[in-house]
Amino acid sequence: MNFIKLYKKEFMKDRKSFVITIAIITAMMLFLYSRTGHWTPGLPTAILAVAMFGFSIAAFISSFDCMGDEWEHNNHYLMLSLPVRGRDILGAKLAWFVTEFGTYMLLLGACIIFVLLGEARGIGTINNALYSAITVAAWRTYGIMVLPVLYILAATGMLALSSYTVGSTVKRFKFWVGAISFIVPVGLLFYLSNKVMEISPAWMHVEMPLADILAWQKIENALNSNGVVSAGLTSFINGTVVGVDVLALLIWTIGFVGLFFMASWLLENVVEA
Amino acid sequence: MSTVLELEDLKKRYGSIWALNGIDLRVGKGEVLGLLGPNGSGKTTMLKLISGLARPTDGRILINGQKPGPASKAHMAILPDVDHIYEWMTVQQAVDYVSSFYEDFDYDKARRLIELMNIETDIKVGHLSRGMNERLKLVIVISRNAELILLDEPLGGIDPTSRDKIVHAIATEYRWEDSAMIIATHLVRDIESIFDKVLFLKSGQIALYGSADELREKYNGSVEDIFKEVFA
Repeated sequence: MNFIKLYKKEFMKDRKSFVITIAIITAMMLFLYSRTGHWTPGLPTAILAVAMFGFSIAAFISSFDCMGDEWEHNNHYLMLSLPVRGRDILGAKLAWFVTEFGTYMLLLGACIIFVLLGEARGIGTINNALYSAITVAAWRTYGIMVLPVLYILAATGMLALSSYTVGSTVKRFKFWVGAISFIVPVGLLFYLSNKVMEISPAWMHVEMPLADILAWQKIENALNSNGVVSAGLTSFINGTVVGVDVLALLIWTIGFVGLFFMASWLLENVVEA
Repeated sequence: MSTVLELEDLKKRYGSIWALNGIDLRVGKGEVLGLLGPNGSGKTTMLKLISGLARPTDGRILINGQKPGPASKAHMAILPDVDHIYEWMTVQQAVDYVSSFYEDFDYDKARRLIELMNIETDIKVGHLSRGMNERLKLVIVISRNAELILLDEPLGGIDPTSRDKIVHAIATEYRWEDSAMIIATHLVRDIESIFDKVLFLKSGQIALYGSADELREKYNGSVEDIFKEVFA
């Protein structure tokens, strides 16, 4: 129950900027969609892609503000005096961070696809069959990217919350202690996951052919009917797989969760106002 | 009288400086303790340690037999000497937010106190004056029927004309009879009438401790006079 109260507080704090940001992204998408066919092909999509990059940077910076804001305005006195567990405080902050930036990223991703498809429709050489195949490919890619995006956001949030909390345990050199506690676990997890991948059995390596993700057969058929299929592209796509090593992923996940619980413990037992 | 708070050889060091050095103290149910001392004497540190906002270097703290932690915080209310309430909240939101964590929060008392303190509930905390913010902090703390109430400079930002009214409110009609209260202040004169006991802190150590009435008799003066004598 405390988690819900704390999560609600995080939402209440950012609710106005959250709604405004969603409105701006939607308005930007509608505007850029209306410009397809008028502007240089690819420009509306490129603008949204740049916005997506900007939001990724903003997410990284914001992940530190989740805790930093409490300290900056002395609100940590209130936060630390509440009868709640450290994991509830950090969990609520993490959940809201993922909700907020997950919404922005997924909305922007959807906007990019809308505008991209809008642009594709205006290209004369793309017939209905090819357009339909591209649509399937685009939305499949989007669907596959949802979980990784949320995972990366959650991982960034856990890293930032833990490093800020570690930084808060000292009175001097907070920044450097925080920075080191951010970089060292990432380096260590990289090293461990690489080592694990060397010994990981083949069945732990889950692969998905790129041709399946992109519904390449449909696209190829449509291209064949247009007579513009490229043999080089076909062989590249058919020979490419997107894979993930489950054991390495598990190492990363255990690492992030471990950092989260370490930070929760520090918040309850070491951090001072 | 049952003990609410027990401190045993409590020590706190910041770098090479001992902010508190060997404090032993017991505070019983219903007792009001004045924690007195000049700036830097260790008053705030002591309240932070008791409330779990800081960790002792050495020694022991027991609140109703429990070490400071989430469980003890449920029975303790602290008013820190900084403006700690979220500025983006309205007064009503702040009261609702804090009260949602405590079973001992008395809404009727909060409503009456808000009226007494003349605080508008729909105004943002960030738009309150320093004095009004202090009043809001007091409302949030005093509205709880907590077993231990810690007030750090509760009259700091309040104008002298309102102090009597607020002190009276804290001490009498709005005080839960079973709660022990520790009030850290250097504005002794305005509040000394409500102290049962006083503890003078000097450089992190107890300089003088005892019943307020007995000390007044012994030194033949007010607590403020004793304060001046101890810290002269």
